[in-house]
Amino acid sequence: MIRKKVCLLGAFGVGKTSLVRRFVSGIFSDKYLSTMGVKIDRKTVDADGREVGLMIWDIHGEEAFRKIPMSYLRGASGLMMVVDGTRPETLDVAAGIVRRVDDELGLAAPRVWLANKRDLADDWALPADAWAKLAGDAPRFETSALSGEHVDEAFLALARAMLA
Amino acid sequence: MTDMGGGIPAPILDWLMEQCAGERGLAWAELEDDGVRVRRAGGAWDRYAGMDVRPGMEADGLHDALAGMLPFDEAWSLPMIELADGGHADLHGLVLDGRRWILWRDVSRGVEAARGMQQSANEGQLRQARRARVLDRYLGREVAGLIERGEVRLNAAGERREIVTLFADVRGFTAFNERRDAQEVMDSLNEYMVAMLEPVLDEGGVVDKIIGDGIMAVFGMSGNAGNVVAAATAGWRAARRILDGVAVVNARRAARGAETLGAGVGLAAGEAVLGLLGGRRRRAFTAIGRHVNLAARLEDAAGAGEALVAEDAWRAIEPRPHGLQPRMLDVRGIGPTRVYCWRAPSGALSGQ
Ligand SMILES: Nc1nc2c(ncn2[C@@H]2O[C@H](COP(=O)(O)OP(=O)(O)OP(=O)(O)O)[C@@H](O)[C@H]2O)c(=O)[nH]1
Ligand SMILES: [Mg+2]
Repeated sequence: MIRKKVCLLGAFGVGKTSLVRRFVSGIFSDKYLSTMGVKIDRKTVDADGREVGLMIWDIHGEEAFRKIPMSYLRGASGLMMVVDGTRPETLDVAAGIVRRVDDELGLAAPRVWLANKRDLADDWALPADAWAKLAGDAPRFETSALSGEHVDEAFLALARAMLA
Repeated sequence: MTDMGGGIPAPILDWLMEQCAGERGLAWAELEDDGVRVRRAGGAWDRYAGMDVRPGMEADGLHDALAGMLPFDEAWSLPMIELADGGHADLHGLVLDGRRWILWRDVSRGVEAARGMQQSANEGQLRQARRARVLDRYLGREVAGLIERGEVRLNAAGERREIVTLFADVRGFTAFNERRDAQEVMDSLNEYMVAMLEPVLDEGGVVDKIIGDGIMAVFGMSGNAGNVVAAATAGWRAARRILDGVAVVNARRAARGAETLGAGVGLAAGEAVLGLLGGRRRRAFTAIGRHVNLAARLEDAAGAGEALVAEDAWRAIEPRPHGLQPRMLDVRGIGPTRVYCWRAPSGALSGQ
């Protein structure tokens, strides 16, 4: 089986841990337990008939005084960039991370972009233009860890992109 | 004078090493020249549950965190990797004298110590973002702006200010609710809510809360803050417009054969503490003060199509309104109180 390291990156509280839990265990909790450092989970997916063993790195949220160490990304085959669709400021945070990834690592690994918390329809405030520009050519998904909407699709899209 | 030139004395170095290796669960492995297989290992590996380190094994099989890290030519470190038991370790890859080592250091204690801080800081910011959205949605741009400009301090300590508070609700809604199907109730409530909220926002008031079938609004928050005359005048105008607006809603509903309901309003002026009340699921912004209770009681006592205005508020309204009936009201928890009663001309009354 092919093994691939995947890193989830984004601002704190955007739902990275919740997305991984939804994807790996099929559960959701509205309790917020901020991630310390990194937690690594595994899940095998079937990408067009090929089994891919994902090693999913759920990394703590980026903050002004707690930047994500770029060493975490070493050996990563794919990046899952996550923003909170109800907090437009999290797009700026993601943009900042991507800039560091490009400048410091020059990591060419494929990316997918997730705007999470889609279930919060009343609070949805994703700026369409900035969002499209940020993701560029990479696949984009509006997800909900709560309902599960588009979560599997996003991981699968990343798995496919890593095999391509 | 001590000798400042030398290095750290050996006994202290030993002691430091002891601290480091013992306390911190230091475990190490030296790698073969291929940079992958373990040549020899030592230290507190037993501290890392399930990890069995033996010469000859491939080190990246030790833990998923090492996948993709070996072999290496430059030192690296992976801070705070969560372990199966919930603890955390810092992982290091070292190149010393041409040999490669991996080093594990238990940092669980430090992580636990830092957890509270990170959790409360992030939680606080998430809560603040949620609060801003709620404020935005229910209270309109007005309040969001007030907060941004710092005209209202959102802290638990609160801020004192002279304000005017208005309560309004739809009479007989509970009974109506029980008689009708949910969608009809919701549509009706929305119709009446709009009639109550719009005047408040138009008159520069701030909707403090929406309580079931009623609202609490405060005046005197922005612009000429602290100016009770302006606040009372705006509050009074909003009160009348609410009753007028509800009358219009009722005329519309009567025309299509729908049941009509009346609204009651209470208005009072006084000092209040403005601020945030904590709690994750609670509406955060609120005004607290004796006159707030009075306004709520007056709304309670008002009949359908009536506004009851407390004396302080009435005196502050400019120009002094005509056509209000003075009345003594025995207000629960407050005692006999002089109030002024405004009755909207027909229409605003319930159709019952
Ligand atoms: N409504 C809703 N809430 C969500 C969703 N995803 C996450 N949340 C909530 O948002 C909060 C933060 O979620 P986490 O998954 O812990 O966020 P995170 O990105 O891992 O946060 P850090 O580890 O601090 O960086 C929690 O209260 C979750 O319940 C979602 O899709 N919808
Ligand atoms: Mg997390």
